[in-house]
Amino acid sequence: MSQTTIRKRYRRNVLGAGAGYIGAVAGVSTQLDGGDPITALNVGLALLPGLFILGMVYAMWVYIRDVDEAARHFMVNAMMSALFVTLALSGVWGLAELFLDDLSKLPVFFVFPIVMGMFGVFTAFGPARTMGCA
Amino acid sequence: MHNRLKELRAEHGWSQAALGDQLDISRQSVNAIETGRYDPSLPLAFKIARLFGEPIESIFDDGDAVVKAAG
Repeated sequence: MSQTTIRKRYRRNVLGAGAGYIGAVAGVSTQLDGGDPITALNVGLALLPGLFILGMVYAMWVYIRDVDEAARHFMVNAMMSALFVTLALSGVWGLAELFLDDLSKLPVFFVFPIVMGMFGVFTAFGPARTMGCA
Repeated sequence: MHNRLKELRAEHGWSQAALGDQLDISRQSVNAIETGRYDPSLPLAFKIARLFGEPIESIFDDGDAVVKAAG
């Protein structure tokens, strides 16, 4: 498989899963409001957006596995930077939450979008920018 | 690490994309190697050396050989 095909597949899969995620969150939000009973249907609906997150993670894993080594090097560096920033943010904020009861609680759900956002920033403004990965 | 990839590519009249196709890497990756932003792995360095029919050390130079020879 050519590098161009690998990149196109990555963009298609990530954008598709991302669109599905947004649609699923919007759709499930109209059905569940947080106070609904735990039934099989409600649990299934609550997990639905998460399936698209798994899809995005899978698309990134396949891309990292198949892309050439130079692009992989820059992408992994951007991912590591994103993870370190997220770990630092969530760790510091989590400790502050422990000590200050009135502090706003950051739901664990936000970890994924923060990682993805940081990954986007490091890809767009770091060395990976020139690799056609953004 | 310095390398002669750009020079060798020019001698063969290949574009970065054409060289990338032969090495199964992207044009951007060829550019990253040529400009020294990325040092290729040993397997890729061997592939490059075989493609141009030259030993690895004549294409890639870490500057250490000159220092040792002078010493």
